[in-house]
Amino acid sequence: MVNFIDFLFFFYMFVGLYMLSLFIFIYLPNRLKVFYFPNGKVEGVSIIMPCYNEAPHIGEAIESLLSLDWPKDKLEIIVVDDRSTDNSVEVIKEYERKYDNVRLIVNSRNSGKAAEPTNIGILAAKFDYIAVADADSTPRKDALKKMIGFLQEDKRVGGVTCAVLAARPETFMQKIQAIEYAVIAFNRKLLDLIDAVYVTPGPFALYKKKVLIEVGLFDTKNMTQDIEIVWRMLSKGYIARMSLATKVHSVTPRGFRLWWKQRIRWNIGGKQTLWKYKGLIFKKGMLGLFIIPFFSFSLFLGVFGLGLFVYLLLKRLVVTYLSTSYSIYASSAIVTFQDLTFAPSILNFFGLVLFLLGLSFTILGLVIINDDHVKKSNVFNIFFYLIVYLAIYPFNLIHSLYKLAVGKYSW
Amino acid sequence: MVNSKQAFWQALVFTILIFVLGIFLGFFLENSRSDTLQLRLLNSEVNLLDEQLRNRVTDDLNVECELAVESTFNFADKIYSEAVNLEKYDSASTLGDDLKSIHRRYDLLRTLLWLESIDLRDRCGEDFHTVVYFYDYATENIEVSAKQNFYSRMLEEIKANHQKEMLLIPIAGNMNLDSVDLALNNYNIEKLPVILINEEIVIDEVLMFEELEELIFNS
Repeated sequence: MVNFIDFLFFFYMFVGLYMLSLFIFIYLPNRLKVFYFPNGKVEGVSIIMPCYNEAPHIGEAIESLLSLDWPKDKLEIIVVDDRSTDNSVEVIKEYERKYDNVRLIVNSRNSGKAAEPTNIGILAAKFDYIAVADADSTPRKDALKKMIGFLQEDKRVGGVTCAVLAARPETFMQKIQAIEYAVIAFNRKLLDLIDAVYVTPGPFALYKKKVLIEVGLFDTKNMTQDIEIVWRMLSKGYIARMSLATKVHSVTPRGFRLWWKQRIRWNIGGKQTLWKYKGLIFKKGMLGLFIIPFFSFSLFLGVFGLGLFVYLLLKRLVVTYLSTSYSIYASSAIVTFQDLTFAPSILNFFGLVLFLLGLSFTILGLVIINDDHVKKSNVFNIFFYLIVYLAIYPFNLIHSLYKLAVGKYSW
Repeated sequence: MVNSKQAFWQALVFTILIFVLGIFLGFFLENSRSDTLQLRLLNSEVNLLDEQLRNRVTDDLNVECELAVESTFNFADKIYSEAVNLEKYDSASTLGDDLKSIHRRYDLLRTLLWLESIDLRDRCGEDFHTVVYFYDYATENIEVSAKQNFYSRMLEEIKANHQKEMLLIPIAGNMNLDSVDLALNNYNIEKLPVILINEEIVIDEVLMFEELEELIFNS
């Protein structure tokens, strides 16, 4: 009969297959509509860009906002400096002098997070639509045109995100993240099709100002204010949309250490948000019926799966270590032909099917996103992403839970 | 836009279908493996009966011992390779218990072969050595697993070096078979794995390759 460990494997595979199937069943009937965007009216948009020590990027970021395909009299750019210690303020002041629609606000203190300067910018904004942009991101020129219609066509829509893709990936780590970002963008569009967009990422998102004010602006205590704000909107009956027809390119961490630190922050923010809204599970629309259970379940599966993996790996390693030690002591063979033979079990077949489905889904996502940087992805990078990169994630999850538990975290 | 609830249910039904199909395929795969082994087992059982008859013929008609020993070795090698396949399929078996009962029958067959080999040695002198390896079937104990891996490799290597001098008979010692339990009691074997050499020497510790070789061939 099926033993407990095999049962767990079957369970994980069932969940994995279900999630993949769900995305496929969302995609298939909507495949011709994923790039749909409603044509919106041109209305005033205030773009808020929080900034802290961004001197090397801030000029390029302001330039990219100025070059947005949007009338200049309907666009203001508010850069809110969070007491940078480099020459960011001088760079921004240059732009303020040069362009009428660029404004600099300097925060009275260093808040250490993006939420507080963003809120300051929102309150100072003169237009009814608020775009929030990161200082290291460059939206495509058509971004506002292809996003604003979502806010105008449906009263329930409080925020819109677009495809966030990796900017100029150079290192191996950045190339892997380029694949990840593209797959996430595709997934997020599919979630949009079931009203389950759960984040409007910082690189570029558009909101209704009155909704932001009504829900109480960005949470200054949360590590991922861009997730929390959407959950708060959802809890108040609003929804977020995703425009796959436009993109923003964002700088990704170059190396493993920075990447790890960034993901710790994302994970901590995600858990903070999950904890804050835990009471809404199974209660409030897609937030309570899908997003919160999905996050909770993923957390449980990630932690438990890692525990199971470590247990089985350690057991195998100890057995191999002991038997190899005996063989070395006895001066006998360490490996024999029998050790190399293998009869695949039904679990291996299930695993293979799941991997092939996952691979096909990833490739489908990359083809649909069709970004120049992603097109250069080679087969090795895709396999590395699926087999190694995704497997590292549960370790980061555990580390972030530890940091959250001991209160050792910062932006 | 698709109805969200519809996609959730569609995915659930699809996943269940794929899973049921997969489980059926799994049963089919494991059954086909067990059928193959059953067939081989039947052949081996017939071969053993043939072997027993042949031993009687050897006795009654004074057929040369050399022929009888060669035939026993061929048979032992055959069921050894079948046992290797059985272990491989058994470790990959997830859904059913068929292979466990086949395993028990193989253990009986190997026990019979062992007893036949004792008779043969009595009749034909001690031209070959019998090594019975009693192991723990499906153990979860780390130390036992490690020791069994070590013993299996070492015995396989010794067998490869002494094809025609050593009869290697692995038998699972914890399959609730009275005959095997009696044999284990007879040698006061309480813990597995154990190597029994020529029905005289019981080895249950880690020892050097040369030492084991020496014990098998020069004891």
